[in-house]
Amino acid sequence: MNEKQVLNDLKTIRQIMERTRQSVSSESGWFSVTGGMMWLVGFLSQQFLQEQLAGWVWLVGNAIGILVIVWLWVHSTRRGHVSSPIMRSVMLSWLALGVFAGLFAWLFEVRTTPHILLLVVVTIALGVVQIGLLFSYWPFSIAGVTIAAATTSAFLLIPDYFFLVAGLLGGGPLIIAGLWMVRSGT
Amino acid sequence: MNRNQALGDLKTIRQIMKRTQKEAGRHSGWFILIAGVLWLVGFTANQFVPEYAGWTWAAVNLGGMIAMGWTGIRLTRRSDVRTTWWKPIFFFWVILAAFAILLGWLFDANDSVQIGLLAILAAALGYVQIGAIFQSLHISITGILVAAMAIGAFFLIPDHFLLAMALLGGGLLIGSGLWMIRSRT
Repeated sequence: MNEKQVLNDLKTIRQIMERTRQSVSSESGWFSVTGGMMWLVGFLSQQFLQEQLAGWVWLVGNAIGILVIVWLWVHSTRRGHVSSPIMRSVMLSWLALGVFAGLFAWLFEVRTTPHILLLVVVTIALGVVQIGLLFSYWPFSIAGVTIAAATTSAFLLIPDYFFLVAGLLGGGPLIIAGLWMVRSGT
Repeated sequence: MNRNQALGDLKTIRQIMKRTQKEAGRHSGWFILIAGVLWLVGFTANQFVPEYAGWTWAAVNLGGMIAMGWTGIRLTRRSDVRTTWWKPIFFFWVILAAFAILLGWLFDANDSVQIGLLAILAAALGYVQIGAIFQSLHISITGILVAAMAIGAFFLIPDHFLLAMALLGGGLLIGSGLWMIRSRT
């Protein structure tokens, strides 16, 4: 094998890596946009609607969000996008975060709605920062830190507007980071 | 390039991946071993000399950081595999620690048992996630076992929770670390 062949092969490997990264980036971006929309609608309803009605909005919003995420997943697989083992690892990592939040709520007796939502928001923010760190998606890490800082500050300083701030400054960065990833992946 | 050449190259790539994974596993084993020693000393101090526990933890953490840094540099120098992963992994643990401190503050974890439980659960979460991301079942299982032990001790022997964490949690980490180092050689 001569030098030219080696260089060509390396170029091909680099192209494959870039295509995989773009594909994962685009998929993750749409997941983030969907999550951000669910978050925005849920928290705004929590702020402005009665608690029972807001509960229904969360329920319906989550159901629609899950359906959209499943559809995105199936759609991307059918289009022949790269289904990488990395996505499975990321899913397991999110599952671990979910189990941690559940255990924490149980062991530390987190009972009220604002406290439960704060725990969920901070845990998701951690996950977003971690994904950004491990996959070098810096806007993701910045979005995660912004979410944690904004919601914690709102919870402590303006508790009456906690849901509004969590909706706008929590859902907003997720949507923006997701759109950035979609753009950079296309 | 013919078929044999292509197959040969793929074999080489697979060998490199395997060697990298082996090295990474052995490196992780050393860090888990050091963490186990830290837990053993720190939680034993919590149980028997609570008035000096804060200072003991500070000294133990400082010693642990130096030991981990020294081990990392030494292993990297000795190894023929170069990695750029240390930076994201380091920040991964820093962020996880910040998260645990934030939760402890927001949800009023006051006494040493609650703080200890939160720290253990956060560390266990880190092990499970690192194991999932680097596809190392051993690290994930270690994390799950540590969390299960902590919760069991919290409910069953609350008065000796800290001692249980020193012996069981620290022991498990030391044992897992040694096992990972030995099994990868």
